[in-house]
Amino acid sequence: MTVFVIRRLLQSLLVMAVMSTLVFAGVFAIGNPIDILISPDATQAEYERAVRSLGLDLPLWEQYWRFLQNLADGELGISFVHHEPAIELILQRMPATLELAAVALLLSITVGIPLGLWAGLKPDSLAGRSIMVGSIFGFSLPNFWQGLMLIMIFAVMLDLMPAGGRGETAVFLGIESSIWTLDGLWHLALPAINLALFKTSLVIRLTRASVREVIGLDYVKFARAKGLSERRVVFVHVLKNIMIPVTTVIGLELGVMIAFAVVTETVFAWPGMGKLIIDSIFVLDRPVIVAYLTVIVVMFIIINLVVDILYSIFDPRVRLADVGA
Amino acid sequence: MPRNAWAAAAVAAAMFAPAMAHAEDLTIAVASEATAMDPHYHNTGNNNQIMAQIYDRLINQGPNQELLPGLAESWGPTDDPTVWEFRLREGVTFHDGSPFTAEDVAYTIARVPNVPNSPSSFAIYTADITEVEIVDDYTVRFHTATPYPLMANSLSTIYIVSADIGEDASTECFNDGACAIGTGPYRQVEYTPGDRIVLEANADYWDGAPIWDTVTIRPISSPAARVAALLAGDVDVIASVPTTDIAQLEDNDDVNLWQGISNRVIYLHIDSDREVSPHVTAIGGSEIENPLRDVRVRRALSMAIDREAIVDDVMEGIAIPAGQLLPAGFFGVSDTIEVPDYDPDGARALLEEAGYGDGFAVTIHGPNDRYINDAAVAQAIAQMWSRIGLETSVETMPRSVYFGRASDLEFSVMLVGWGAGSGEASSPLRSLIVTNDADRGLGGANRGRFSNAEVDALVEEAMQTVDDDARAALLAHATEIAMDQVAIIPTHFQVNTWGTRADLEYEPRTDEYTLATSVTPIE
Amino acid sequence: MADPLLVVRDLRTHFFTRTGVVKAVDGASFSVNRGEVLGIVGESGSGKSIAGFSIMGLVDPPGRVVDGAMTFDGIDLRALPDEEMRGLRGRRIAMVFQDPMMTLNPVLRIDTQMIEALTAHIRIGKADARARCRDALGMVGIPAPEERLSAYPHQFSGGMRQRVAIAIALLHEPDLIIADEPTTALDVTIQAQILYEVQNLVHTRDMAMLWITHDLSVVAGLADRIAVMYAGRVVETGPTEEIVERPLHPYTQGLIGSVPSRSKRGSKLRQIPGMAPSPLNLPEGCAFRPRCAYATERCGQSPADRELLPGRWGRCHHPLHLAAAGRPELAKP
Repeated sequence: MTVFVIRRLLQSLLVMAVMSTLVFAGVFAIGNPIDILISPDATQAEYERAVRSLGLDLPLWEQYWRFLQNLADGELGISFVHHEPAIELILQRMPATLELAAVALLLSITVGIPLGLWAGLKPDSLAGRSIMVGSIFGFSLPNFWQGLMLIMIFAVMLDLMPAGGRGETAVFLGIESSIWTLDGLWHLALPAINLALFKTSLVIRLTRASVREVIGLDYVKFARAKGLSERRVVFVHVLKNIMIPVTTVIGLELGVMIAFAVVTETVFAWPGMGKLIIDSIFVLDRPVIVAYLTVIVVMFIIINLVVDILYSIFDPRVRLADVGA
Repeated sequence: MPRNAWAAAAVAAAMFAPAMAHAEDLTIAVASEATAMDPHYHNTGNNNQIMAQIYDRLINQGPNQELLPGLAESWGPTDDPTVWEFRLREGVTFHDGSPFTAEDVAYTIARVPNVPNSPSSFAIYTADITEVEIVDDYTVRFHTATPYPLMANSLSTIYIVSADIGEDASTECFNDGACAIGTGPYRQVEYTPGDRIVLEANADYWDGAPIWDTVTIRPISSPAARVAALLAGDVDVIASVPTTDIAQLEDNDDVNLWQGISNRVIYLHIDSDREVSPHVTAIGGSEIENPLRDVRVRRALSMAIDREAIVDDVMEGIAIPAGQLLPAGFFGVSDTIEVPDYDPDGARALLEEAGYGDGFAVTIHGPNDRYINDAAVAQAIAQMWSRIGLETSVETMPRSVYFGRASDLEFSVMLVGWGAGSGEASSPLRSLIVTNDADRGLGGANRGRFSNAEVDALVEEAMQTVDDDARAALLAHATEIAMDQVAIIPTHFQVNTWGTRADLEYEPRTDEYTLATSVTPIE
Repeated sequence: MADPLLVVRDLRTHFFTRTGVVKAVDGASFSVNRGEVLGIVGESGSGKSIAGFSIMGLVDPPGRVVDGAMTFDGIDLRALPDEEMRGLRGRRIAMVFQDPMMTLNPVLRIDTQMIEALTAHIRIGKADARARCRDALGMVGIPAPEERLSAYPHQFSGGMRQRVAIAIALLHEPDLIIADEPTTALDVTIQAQILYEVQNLVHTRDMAMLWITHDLSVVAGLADRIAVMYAGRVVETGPTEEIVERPLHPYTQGLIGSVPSRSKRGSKLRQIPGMAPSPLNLPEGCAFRPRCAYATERCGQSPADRELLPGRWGRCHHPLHLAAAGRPELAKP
């Protein structure tokens, strides 16, 4: 297991290096952030001073070299726009996104798996069919529209929930989060639902498909032949077998949710990383873009690692050495 | 009654007056968040509107950007036109209780050009000041090399900070709050980037305690979400109401709308310089000599634009047709220039006269995420030009890509906007119209490379003329020539819309700032 | 002799699919006594496995038992409520499946799968349960049973897995074991071992066993009685030797004749001409009619299940013992 983890981490470093180079070159090619940030009143001299101070007048390779040097010092660059270390900007907003993603993940699992199970066990029932139709809406209706609809219905018309923003935070177990307060949870509800909708639909459909596949297999019949209760058959025999494909999808989607919760964060004015990245892209705040994507790569790698380890726990036939070699 | 008695009576009345000071909190939603809380770090409207509530300037700007006494009670040039003297207000204290004196002014002016890594600093406004002379605690003199008529306008953009914050006050220090010490109506209490800024009333404010106890400013970038927040009652005031929602909100009794013209003019740069322009060709695509160099062609293009239609249809009535660089009432605006009539026949005749009866092909470039309905405006203009025989196409792109390329002169016809931060005509004239001269810092945004010696001379003279009326006349005259020669084609002035709770009133501002001090309850 | 333990009379199990009604079992009658092995023989698609599932109540939708009676130790299986049927399964009637690879859940340990079979029916402490499972494994000839308990199915060979399945079936000492082709997927040697052990168990414990297979040679050595199924119907039943020596139904005769060991080396393998009918589309009357050498007009009517000779039941209008009498050219070769 340790060898596996170490090997993974080494691979990750390579991925990170390649990724940061690509992003760096890409953003460099697009344009000069000063053009966007500078006041139009500014003189040419002022313009040039700004360009110089951010090092944007240097050739590409020299800028990249500077970036690598900073990287060696553990510094991912200073935001052109906010004049704070990019990594700090990201870490400042990470808790907000993480808690949103965590709640959304929890929702999609606790809602998606049971509904998927039901639809899989009783595919021709009214409930089963409704669940599947509902799931189609979940992933085909645009996220943006769903978010606004949630706000319109629950915040404006029913006046039940806040229209956006993050609630109060509290510290528990050393972690500061808005999950620990009632006000925080109230603010989390709608954006988490919005973020979870797509994923829940995926989980429902995947669970249902897996259940349909497994339920006809011999070992399920054999389990019943032993006289096991239907509940045990479903929740032990069937469930454990469908966990692998479901875990894969959930893991991948979790990464996407964290990295690109932009739409949800924008609609609900949630102060997370997703909003930071989109704003940074709009003004070409390169250090933040590069730093952010590097952080995301690390995150995906960690998630993949966890998923692979979970594989080996769920399915004893899988040996870690075989995975991701 | 003697002055002091009046003052005493006023104080007594205030003490016993029924609570006009509502113990109330206000929540405002704006479209974009501030990039930092350092008032000298980044010169953008988003930042400045927050700073205006925490700090004062020597000269404040009123709702129409008129110059009002701020921390300076009076000011003016001395007999030596290169020296201006400012009398400072006495008895003003900073949020930490320390008194405001000339030393703070000197410290501020010295700090402004030295803020590290500022993406757009205020140095342009202090660059002409060669020396800050502290005459006494409440008198300051600014020295310049040559007469600097814009001294007042320039200083009306600089926020005064306390000299006590120390030599190396960094932007981080302001973000954390430790250095965020101003004299303004509110003090900075909390800054959570991306989430909110919380301000608390400064009861000792020299201009009277503010109405609102606590002000929370939240950025909600999605326009629909912003409107929803107002409708849901989560926020009390919103800025930048999208034009598409205005009709519906007007019918809504729970919401009030407040509109005001902005200092921002939307216009087209025209490449009037190059012999061959990259995006102007003959119909069919072959290369031709640049027709935009001919003033008749430019006039035709301007006449072919139905500005009323743009205002009514594209902007849904929320704009004002423009014929020059600033709306009426601003300093240096011409009284004689009128908005060009929509005259497609006249346009066609002019084109014919200039030898382009067969028309030509041109591409309009513009941003799609910078100004209100910018891409739609570009499309509308293109259609209007098609009607006079031109073959037009439109290419819009995100501003992150657009401005760089436009400044690199990759385009021939460019849709842009200009907001005169100083509130007077020399700003657009010097940046957009005057011949581009990088060394002298002129015409920095003159992307069409328009050049007219007469205009240059007039503007230069105005920059040396300290007498306000004379200067205004010179600027107006320069504008008249520039518009006659169609240096740029203005289309409309933007109108900004604010939304508030039904029991609140908002005083619109031409600088587009959203201020808590402009919000008052309706009695 | 005591009453038969299991009596199945005229069982019909149909599947209601979108393409039509699949009559998987369409008239099967047989019975099993204690201490006896009944072999149900038939080719693929004859409905023999479904018959087994029907008895257990394990027919999945869209199929269901539409007609017939099934009595186990006097209990009407069809009328039994689900919960009570579940109580019978695994405890009094056990089943062993064909493919040991897929019978055991690959992600659960052996002890889990064995212990749950115990705890589904009786209250028993973990340690006791484990001990019983260990003993059961030992009984079916699995070495080092303690370690094997903690293993996963994929760590066993095919033969071992099948032994585990059999051990599970035996845990509650059931009255009846239904074995659905349990040795088909195994090597011949292992097969032989298992057959031997099974026979042993049945006789020593007075169990009843239903051995479902397509392999006549296997069942010939093992079963006391045989029931032959064709196209969803039981066409002949009787004691094993009699059926093998003197089949009464033309299909049974064909079946016996096509066993390779019966042909002389080098001569052509015998086959029954034609193919078994699709259960979606059974012909009118006797299902074997299109392939039968003795078929007549009369066979257009479905023959009923009758006692053709003492202890010999069958569905045929022209059973061989009569046919041979009238048509000497059709006498057994």
